[in-house]
Amino acid sequence: MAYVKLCKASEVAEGESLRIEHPGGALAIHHYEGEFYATQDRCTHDEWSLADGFLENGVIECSLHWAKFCIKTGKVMAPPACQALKVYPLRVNDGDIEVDVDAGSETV
Amino acid sequence: MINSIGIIGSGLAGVTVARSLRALGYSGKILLFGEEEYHAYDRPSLSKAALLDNIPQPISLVPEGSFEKEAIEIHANRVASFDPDSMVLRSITGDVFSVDKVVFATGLRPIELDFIGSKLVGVMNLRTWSDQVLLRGFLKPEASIVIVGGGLIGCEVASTAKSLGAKVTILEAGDEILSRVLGKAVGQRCRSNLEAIGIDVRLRTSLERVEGSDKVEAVIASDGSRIEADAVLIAIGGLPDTEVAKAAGINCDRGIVVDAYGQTSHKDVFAAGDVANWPLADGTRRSLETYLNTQDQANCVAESILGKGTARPQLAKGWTEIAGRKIQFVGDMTSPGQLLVRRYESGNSHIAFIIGEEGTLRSALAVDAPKEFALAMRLVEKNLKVPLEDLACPDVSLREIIKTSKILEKVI
Repeated sequence: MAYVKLCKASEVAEGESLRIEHPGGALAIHHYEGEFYATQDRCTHDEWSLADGFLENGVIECSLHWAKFCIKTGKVMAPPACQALKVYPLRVNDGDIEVDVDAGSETV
Repeated sequence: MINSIGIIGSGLAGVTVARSLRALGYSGKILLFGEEEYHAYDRPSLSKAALLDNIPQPISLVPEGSFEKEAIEIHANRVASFDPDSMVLRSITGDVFSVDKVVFATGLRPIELDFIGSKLVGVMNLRTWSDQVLLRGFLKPEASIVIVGGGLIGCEVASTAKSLGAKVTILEAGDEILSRVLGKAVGQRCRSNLEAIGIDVRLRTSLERVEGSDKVEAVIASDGSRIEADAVLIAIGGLPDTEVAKAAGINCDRGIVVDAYGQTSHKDVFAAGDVANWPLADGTRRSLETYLNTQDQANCVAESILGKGTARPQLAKGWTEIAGRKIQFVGDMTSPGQLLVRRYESGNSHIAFIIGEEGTLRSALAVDAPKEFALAMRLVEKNLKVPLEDLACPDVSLREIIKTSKILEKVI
């Protein structure tokens, strides 16, 4: 368990996603209906940042070719992607977003 | 009771119907017929990333093992005929399959041109993975390629071929490239961009003949000019593959004619994707040849087959990459209306909207603005009345505009 502080919760507005650079690969922090979720930032289909995408109903849509992923499980919701996103354990600690960056996994 | 569903075509449309049927809880047989070596791969990238990166095999649209896991029976075979009275499909190898429902997802076949030299080595189309492999072999630095047709595929391949160091000429018979899909104004800008990277674009010029003894040596254009070439790509579009459907007596007219549920003139026969002539939101109908619409139609067909369908008139949505620029569009950019351009500070990125008489957004096209386009797409989809001065001002966020327009809608 190695929770790392990545940003402040206040930096990610409701309904938005934020890209955070990290040596092991960039992460996207999503803010949806009051909760925060962490996934890998790179779309599994092409070289593109998911934080640049559109978040709706708990699903992030890549803005390049419109692949969709569930932000909670990483599951592919629409092609052209076919590989799930890595999702990371996240906690909010005193206004900070902390993510266990080593525990990223494909749960589906 | 549905026991068996036959899906003809294993591209995006066919595979999406199959997987969607499973996701909706259908547990009967699914027979998926595909004649290509690979099933369900990313076709749009064949003219772009896949071609550029020279990848060893196509990008799959389904995770490995999904067909087995979801009990989707793959038949690597072409369906030769369908008898709608007995509901029997027959493959070219003579195998016979009895089904309760049929989905045509046969896509397009390239339009064949008849000209002197059409059989020479180096004259090709681009529709499938194997076409791409063949084309890739010709795209070497200093090689010369002539592309016949300035549509999306032609312009995409031109951009990629240029990146690979080839000398590229586009012959376009019409007054402007890309005008059928993106409108004349955008077509003109794309042409300038293509010319700026060194591509020779010739308008009002078509292919007369190809010279060569066994392989391509030169192209003679309709204006009499001679262009030395190693390869010729015929990219003048495709025609819906309606052969089997037509022979079965299914109503076809520029594709298989379906209603907004994907149902054909026969109650147990459906069509989705490029082969389907599907009703559009603006009251017209056509085959859309786009990725998102194909997915939507395929999901709709799966629901309709299981009696859970909703009418899904389509709004065209697509993307392209031309001369290094990412272009995304929604709706018909050739429709009449007032043009409004929202420009962003960075580079040349902008979104052009076409506003209808009633003040709603008819269509939008973004250049190098994918994040903003995701919102623009929702604005056009929701058919909202939008304050135009806000739309023209990049400082007012599109998200804000969507919220305000929704509130206004409720008040009215």
